[in-house]
Amino acid sequence: MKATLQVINQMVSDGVIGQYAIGGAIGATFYLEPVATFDLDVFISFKNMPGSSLVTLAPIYDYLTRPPHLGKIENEHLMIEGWPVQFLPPGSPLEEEALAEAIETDVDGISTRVMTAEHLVAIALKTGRAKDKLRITQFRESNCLNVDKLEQIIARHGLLEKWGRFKDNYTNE
Amino acid sequence: MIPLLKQIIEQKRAARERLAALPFARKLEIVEKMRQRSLLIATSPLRRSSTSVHNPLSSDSQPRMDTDGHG
Repeated sequence: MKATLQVINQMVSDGVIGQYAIGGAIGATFYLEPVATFDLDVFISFKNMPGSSLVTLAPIYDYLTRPPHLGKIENEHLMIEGWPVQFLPPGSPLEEEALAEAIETDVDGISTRVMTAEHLVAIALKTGRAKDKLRITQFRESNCLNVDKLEQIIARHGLLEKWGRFKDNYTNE
Repeated sequence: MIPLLKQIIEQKRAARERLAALPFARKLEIVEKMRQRSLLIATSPLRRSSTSVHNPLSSDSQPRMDTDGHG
């Protein structure tokens, strides 16, 4: 994983991608106990899209499949140093905000950025699969959430109804 | 709730808290080990004899692992 993060950081240095933030299960692992996952979800902003509003991952694929990386494409993933990585452009203002407000951390000296716990929960709520609901419950039990901040994010991004339903179904509140 | 069950739940909660408190780098090492073991299980001849798994890295061979976008 460290080698994977180094390559992603190099992509930032080389101008292939802009800012990035780790989300998904690996992002959640920053706050919670480790969870088995198959891939690394990396939300990215684009630097080099002059004169075009079209979002394309082609520069990333070109960069990573050429030497020295010679990454392989496996379905929607790019294999980077043994890890399947999924690059995700932010699909909504919620993900854009999560990307912008991600926190800086490091993995044995390798710098990286991880989404805040509150944004991970809000994205899980929006996505709404069974495993997302489980993750929200884990976050709530872990006491690592700033509930006021979370509820502000939820309100700002039109998720109050979903949040109410989640609490009705999965908590005693 | 019977005391033994209560004790087990409390021990599990404490274990999860200990794991959550580990440094991120250490937690990622654990995630890597879990992933390697899952891939080994997915490619095991025993498993292949009873399922149609061919590519251990394809999403459909990883039913219990996060694979899809918001992992």
